[in-house]
Amino acid sequence: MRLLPHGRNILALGLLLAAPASAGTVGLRWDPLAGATGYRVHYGASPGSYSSVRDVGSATSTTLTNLVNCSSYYIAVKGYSSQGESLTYSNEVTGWSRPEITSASPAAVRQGDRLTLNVNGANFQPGAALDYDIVGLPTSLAGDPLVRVENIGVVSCNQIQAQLTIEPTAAGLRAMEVGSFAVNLDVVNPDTVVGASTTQLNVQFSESRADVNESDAVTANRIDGKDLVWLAYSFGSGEGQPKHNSDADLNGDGFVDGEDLAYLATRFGGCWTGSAWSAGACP
Amino acid sequence: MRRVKWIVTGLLLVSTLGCGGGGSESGSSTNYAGSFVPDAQNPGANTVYVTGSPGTGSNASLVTLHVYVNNTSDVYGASFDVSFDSTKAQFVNWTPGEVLEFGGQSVSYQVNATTPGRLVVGVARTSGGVGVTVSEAKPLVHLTLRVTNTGSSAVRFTNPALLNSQDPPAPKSGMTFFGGMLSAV
Repeated sequence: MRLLPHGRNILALGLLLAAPASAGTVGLRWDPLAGATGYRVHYGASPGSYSSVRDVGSATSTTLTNLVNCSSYYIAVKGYSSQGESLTYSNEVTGWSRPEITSASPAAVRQGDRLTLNVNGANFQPGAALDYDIVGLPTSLAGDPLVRVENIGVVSCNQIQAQLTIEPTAAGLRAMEVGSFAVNLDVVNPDTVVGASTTQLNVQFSESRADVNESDAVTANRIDGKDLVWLAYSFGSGEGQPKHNSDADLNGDGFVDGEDLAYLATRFGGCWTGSAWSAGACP
Repeated sequence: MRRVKWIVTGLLLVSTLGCGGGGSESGSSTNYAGSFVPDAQNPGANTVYVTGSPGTGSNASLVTLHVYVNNTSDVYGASFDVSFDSTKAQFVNWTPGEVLEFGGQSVSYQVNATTPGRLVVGVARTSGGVGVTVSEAKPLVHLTLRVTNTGSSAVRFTNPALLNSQDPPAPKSGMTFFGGMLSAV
């Protein structure tokens, strides 16, 4: 009989760790043992020392529950029949409970932000990987998500941090589109057991983009008539069309239109104070 | 469908902006009578200047400043601040001019009066990317102030620019801006 951990084969009794439902659980399955009418799962916190046992009947898979998070478990299986229990254990598998993502923050980001994404949960092993898949982006951004997740690191068994970059706000570059999209997160522990979740990112407008002609030193840090004129000049244009100015596409949707004009209008007359845009004019 | 909605939104906004704006400084009722003396009466070509029209009767404290563009070419938009003594006057409202609307062009106006004594003004065409040639003095925008105290207040342009239709629009060189003196008795 082989006892195999979830996601990998270990020879001998053929025990696998299978996909459990949540944190604090370990899923198992194993190859049938000839002549066995039932199986007992033995497990504990030390190799070869099994303090707990669970009779699962004739099933060849089970999920151990109520396990302590972020702790190693050592697990082996014995078969039994009317003639008694097998003399030897299966191969021993070890691992943590399945990683589980309970939350990710922040939920709201701003165009041009570079910030830390905190992924919270349990059973994140050192060396765990964070896979991400951005879904639900507007069609205009297909293949060009303008969002990067990098520098992924396991902080603790309960937290993974990653650097999140929402591109861009620099002059001449297209902004991330204002709106919401989903980020599917998968934490993959070194033992290949996976925990998954989805978080929602809401990209918000960056006031600094309203300074459309920020390359103009005379009116730098002001949102004024020059910004309006530059935006108005590109008004109605789409990306790639004549007179299109990505700096005037304030909401990053690929068009300079009424929404951009509205964004500018709400910030018109504002002044950069060094840390924020004030409603009033610059001195 | 989404794109159509955006366009409609934009047209509505432009239309709204083009209808003239409300003021952000509410005025108190006074009996002051306002007047305005331009710095230049007939400044000639390539200028932007201001004339004033005092109100009458119960509106005698109101003075409407007419910002004119005079004899210049390729004007796509304008950007300037108008400063005045906030202890002598306050902003009431604005109405659109006509110079940039020439040829049926859509025009966007922005007037921010958040800071007392300073108006941040922007006016721009939003269609076509074509500038207008101004063959005589035409109003760009009208700004109405209410005098709130006796005395005089200089009305000055700061950071002024008329912008042309090059890509991107650039300040027209050789332009001169003239303000004036606002008074109340």
